[in-house]
Amino acid sequence: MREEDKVLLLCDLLKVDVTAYLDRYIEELRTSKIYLQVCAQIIKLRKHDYFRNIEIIRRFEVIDFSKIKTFLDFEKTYAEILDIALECQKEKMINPLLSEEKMTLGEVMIPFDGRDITFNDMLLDERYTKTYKINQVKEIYLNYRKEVKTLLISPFVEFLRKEDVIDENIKEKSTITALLSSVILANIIIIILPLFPVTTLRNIYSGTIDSEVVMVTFYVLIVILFLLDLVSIFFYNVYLNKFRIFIRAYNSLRSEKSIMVKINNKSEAFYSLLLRHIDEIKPLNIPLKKVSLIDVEMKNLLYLIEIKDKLPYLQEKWKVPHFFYVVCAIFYLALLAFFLVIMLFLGGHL
Amino acid sequence: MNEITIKFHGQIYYSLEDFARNMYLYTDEAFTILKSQKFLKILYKINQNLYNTIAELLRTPFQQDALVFKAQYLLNPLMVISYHGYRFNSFQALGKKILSFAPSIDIYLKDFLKYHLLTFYMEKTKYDFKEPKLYQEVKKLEEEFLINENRAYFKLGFLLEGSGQIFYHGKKFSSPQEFLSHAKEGVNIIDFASSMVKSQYIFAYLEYLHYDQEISLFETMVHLIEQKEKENDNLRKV
Repeated sequence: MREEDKVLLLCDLLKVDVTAYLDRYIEELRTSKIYLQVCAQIIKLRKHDYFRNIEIIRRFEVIDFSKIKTFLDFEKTYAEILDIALECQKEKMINPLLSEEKMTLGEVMIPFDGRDITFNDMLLDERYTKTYKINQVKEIYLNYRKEVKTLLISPFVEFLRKEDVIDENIKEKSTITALLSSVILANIIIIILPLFPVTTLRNIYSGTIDSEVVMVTFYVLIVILFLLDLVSIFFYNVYLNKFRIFIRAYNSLRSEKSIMVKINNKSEAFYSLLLRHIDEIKPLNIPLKKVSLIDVEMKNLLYLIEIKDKLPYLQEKWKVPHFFYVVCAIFYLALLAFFLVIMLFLGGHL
Repeated sequence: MNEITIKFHGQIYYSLEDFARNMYLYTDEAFTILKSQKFLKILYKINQNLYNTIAELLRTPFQQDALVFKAQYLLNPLMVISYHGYRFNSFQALGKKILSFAPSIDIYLKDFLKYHLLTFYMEKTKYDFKEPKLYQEVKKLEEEFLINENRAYFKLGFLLEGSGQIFYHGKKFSSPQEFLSHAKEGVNIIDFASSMVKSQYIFAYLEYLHYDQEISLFETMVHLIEQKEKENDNLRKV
């Protein structure tokens, strides 16, 4: 950091007006070597939808030069750019528990005895004792775990704090699911009824029954059911598609314990694997995919956590749209018509 | 006492007090006299306790100027602050002198904290009782000196000078804001910045005025950025 930058920062902190310098500094930063390097790296990172890349890109996209109003803001932005640049440079210094790179565990770079070497180099280096390697690997593993806690467990735990709101939403979701299931069930019943070997029933379907009342009621039922199907499909597409994210949350919540257990088990298994290979002095030719905690399920969950602030469903109680009541009303009409047909049928066609 | 004759820098002194009063002017020569067998024998005859104290002082591995400073107050406790050619009639005068050189540092004035000379002087002249608060603050600065020499040194200047003003190139400023507003307007902000930040002068002033939060935030930011720059090894294009 240049000395004059320090003076300007100090001026800013002491409420001395230095805004006249700010535009020049922002422009300098925007065209600086470090920022341009970061931009180039981000383009590369966008090619792979890895968890680590997404995290770096997210941090990069938050940078907004137009929001810099003070020198403190400026220096914070500069620090963030430096930090992102640093992350980009650590391309091979990845956390195997959080990575999706197509490489083997043995190729992952680690800081070891003041140098950056791969896991395999460390394992096969006979100059170091097993105890020394175990101590170093323990440090490395603990750092990995720390990162897992920050990037995976903490947001998840934070997410679960909204459980009360989600509980309410789950009830709503259950009601809607029950209604839609009933609609499907009603359709199935109407379809399979003529399969029963009951002559009168088949006569209703073929329209050869002599009671006009039953026939009219039956046709009304069919029309209402058809209408209900149409309205339900429309409702599902328009409203429930928007609700899909919430359903994911619901499903993720249900497997809350299993996710936590999975994180812990996989982390411990990874550590045991490292220790075993140190003991056996064997290279780690295992694909990263096998030890990584990031799979499709986890990515969905992380995606959910990432966008949670944008989801009204997770922020407040989900409000059932008015259209839902139309579906309910038609459903009850269909139900009424159905029972009427049954009653008429059982009552000897009146 | 009347039997004493000490020849010091071409002058004859007939009392220890007179000799002590002028020791600060020529410290090398004063030190030579102090450790001479002839002087020590005279001292032994006059005052055995004083001889023991001076002999003990000479035995301790101590910096020469600081040793002369301490010895002069043992020989004559009723003296104003005198050190290596400087003579100050008050603490404020010492503070003013420190600030008058700022942002440069006078290596001899720095010794007041480095070798705990000022607190020694205060103890010998009973200022630790007369001005206990000031004494405690100087003691604290002696400890701070071990962490940040320059900052503690300038803080001593502000503490002793006591006006709450900052001096720069002969000008006085009554607040950090006024001072920095003047500094940033200057054509050569780079020169100002390098001397001001490196010397710690401005931070000493801010600390003296209790701008602790601002300093803490500033230092955190600077440390963070410099650490990341070092790691990146890729400085911003100017």
